[in-house]
Amino acid sequence: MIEFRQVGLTVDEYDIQGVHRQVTILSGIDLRLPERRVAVIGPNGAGKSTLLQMVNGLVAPTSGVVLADGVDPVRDPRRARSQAGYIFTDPRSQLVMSTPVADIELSLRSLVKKRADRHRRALELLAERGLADIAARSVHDLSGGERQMVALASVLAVEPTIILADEPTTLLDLRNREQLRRAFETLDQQILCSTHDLELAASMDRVIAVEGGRIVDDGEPGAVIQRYRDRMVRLADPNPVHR
Amino acid sequence: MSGRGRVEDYLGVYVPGSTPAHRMPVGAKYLMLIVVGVLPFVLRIWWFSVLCLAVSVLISLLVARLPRRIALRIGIPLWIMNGLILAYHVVLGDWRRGVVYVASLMACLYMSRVLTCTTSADALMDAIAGFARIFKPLGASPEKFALAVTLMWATIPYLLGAVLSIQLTAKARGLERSSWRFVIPVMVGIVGHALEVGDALRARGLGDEPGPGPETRQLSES
Repeated sequence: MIEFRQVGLTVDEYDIQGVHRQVTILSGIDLRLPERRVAVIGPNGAGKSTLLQMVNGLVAPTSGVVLADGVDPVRDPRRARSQAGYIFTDPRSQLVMSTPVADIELSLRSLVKKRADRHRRALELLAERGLADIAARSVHDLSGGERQMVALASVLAVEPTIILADEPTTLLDLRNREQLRRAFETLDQQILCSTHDLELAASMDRVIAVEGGRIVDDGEPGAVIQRYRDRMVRLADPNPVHR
Repeated sequence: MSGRGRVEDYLGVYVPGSTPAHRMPVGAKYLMLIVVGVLPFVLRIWWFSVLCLAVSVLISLLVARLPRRIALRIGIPLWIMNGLILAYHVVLGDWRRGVVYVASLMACLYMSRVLTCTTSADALMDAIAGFARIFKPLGASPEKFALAVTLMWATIPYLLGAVLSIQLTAKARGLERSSWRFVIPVMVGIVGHALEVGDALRARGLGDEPGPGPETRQLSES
């Protein structure tokens, strides 16, 4: 289970004249997430990715505490990272080796000591996701969808209990989005996913709307998404007099 | 195939297989590289360099059984460079030296390809980490060292791809003749990529020190 207890984040910022100001990225985040699949929606710059990054210790809050299955990522980042796998928007940044099998073997290095066992396990993991045919292909030659599925396999290799997915469908076409959504449905791990993809959000158990670093809505997907859509339509209206 | 894919062909990406070269220990392959690819530069005997070049071609095609396209292709820029080196030494009246440099360079390149095309990244990391273990008493982390070297190798295609991509962007805007303008966007792109990779490594816990804790737990199926 993921918990945010009065979490806030402020950062120092300097403008072009060197004038200092404090910017609040997140404030007053108080959440308890026992659901298996949770989506975070909100406009660009709302703080969605930061919220996710706090769960595996990539970003530390300036106030409050985050707990991932009882582990505070600030106090024990190594443990937090081993139990919370992170999927980035662009898998090209995430896949650091030249082939899918090599990338998964890299994930397994600290867990499986024998090279032959690592190789066998890496191939098994790729086969489980239907990626056996591309195991030895260059990651640069894969499609966006294939890369994202390899990134997911690479994260799953270390058997995390939580999957954090930062806008995982943004760069994918419709078929690959659907494939990833189905993959999420089959996973046993808890999934916390930030997204602009409202179809993906609708398939989750709970949806949280974040705007301006605060939670503005939280609850059952259908209702939260509808209210979010209405708010965004109102904000995009060039002629608010007629609202 | 993308531009990056072609770049990787030149660098020698691992080609799965079960040839004698694939089964050979990494240490033996490094030894072969030193004898056939590096020794000619030290001895500087023209016929020995030519012999090593011939041996490297035979090893690539018969022992490693690499496709000729992967084993022998060097690209036009390297042909031009070889031609210039040879011409320069012929003009200076010492064709033997030209043959030494060109043949040794090619032998070294082909033997490097045999090493990288027949050794998986994982096996290379094991070998590098094994070598770096001698520095452990000085506080070095063999796994981090191996990771750094492997990442450096894996990043080369990205860097070359970034240059090609910026060149294309510039061409689309009619700036193809201002090659100096490419430098800053390429540098910005490379730094951005390095930061992203750093985040990815951190998120995957790959830079973390090994030790007791969840990293040492056993996987359920392995």
